[in-house]
Amino acid sequence: MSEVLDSYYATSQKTKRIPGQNIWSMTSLAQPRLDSGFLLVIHSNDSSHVSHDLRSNIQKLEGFKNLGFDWNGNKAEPFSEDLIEKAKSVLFTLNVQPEVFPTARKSIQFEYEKENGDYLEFEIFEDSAKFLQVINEIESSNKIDCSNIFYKVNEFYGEGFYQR
Amino acid sequence: MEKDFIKDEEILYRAVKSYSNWWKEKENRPSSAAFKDSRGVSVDRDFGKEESDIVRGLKKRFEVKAVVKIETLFCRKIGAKPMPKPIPKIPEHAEIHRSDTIIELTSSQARSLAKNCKIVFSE
Repeated sequence: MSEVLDSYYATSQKTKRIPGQNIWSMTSLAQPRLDSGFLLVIHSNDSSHVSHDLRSNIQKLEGFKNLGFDWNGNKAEPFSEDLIEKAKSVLFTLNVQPEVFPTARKSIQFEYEKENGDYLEFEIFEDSAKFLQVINEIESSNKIDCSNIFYKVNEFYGEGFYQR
Repeated sequence: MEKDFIKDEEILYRAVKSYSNWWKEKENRPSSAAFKDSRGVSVDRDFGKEESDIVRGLKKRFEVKAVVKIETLFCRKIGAKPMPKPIPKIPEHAEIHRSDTIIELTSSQARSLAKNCKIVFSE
């Protein structure tokens, strides 16, 4: 059991990692408690545990590293490693994988769109994030903490939607 | 054709590049991310040219996944500002800005353009 757990990590919203043994000691508590601002991500280095959609999104983000200066033909700047890692750590928290796109304003965009037109978009910047939501044609937008993106996505898909 | 002012009835064409993965396959249209640019959304005015010539010109300049078009009037309806920005050898070049003073579109404006643009060419 400990061998498996050793390959797991917790990631804070600042992409700090804690070795799996520490997670083991936390999760072995009857009711583990984490600081409210702490974004817990448990994932495995073994790619067989990772969904196809997540793997594909991670590959896409890795590909953004190859977008050099002027990648859009309009002098867009390359993406920082920190931004890509931040976006990646958010992806690991999500029950439903978004479509992932680069923007030419130093941000990475996650999109969800339902067949009825309902829409949810997150734009992740190095030091902030925001969302745009259109539900029943009613639009709302605001800043969002990356640790709350998980909740926003679950809210969008409704309670009980937890299949990754 | 007025060089310094874009009339409501003018059509603006945007090249959606292939290498930046901006295309939403399921919806068969670009993501709003294709309209988020800190330097302004680069477009070509029709300048009275045939659509096929405009598409040919954009394909020559860029590796495109698609070419989409949007009406100037629509841009104005969502509060965005199409502005003539001629560059050497491309007098028809223009940019769409959020307002007279801010370049980057709002998320809502970018989504409106992505949802309402019409595809005139796609790979």
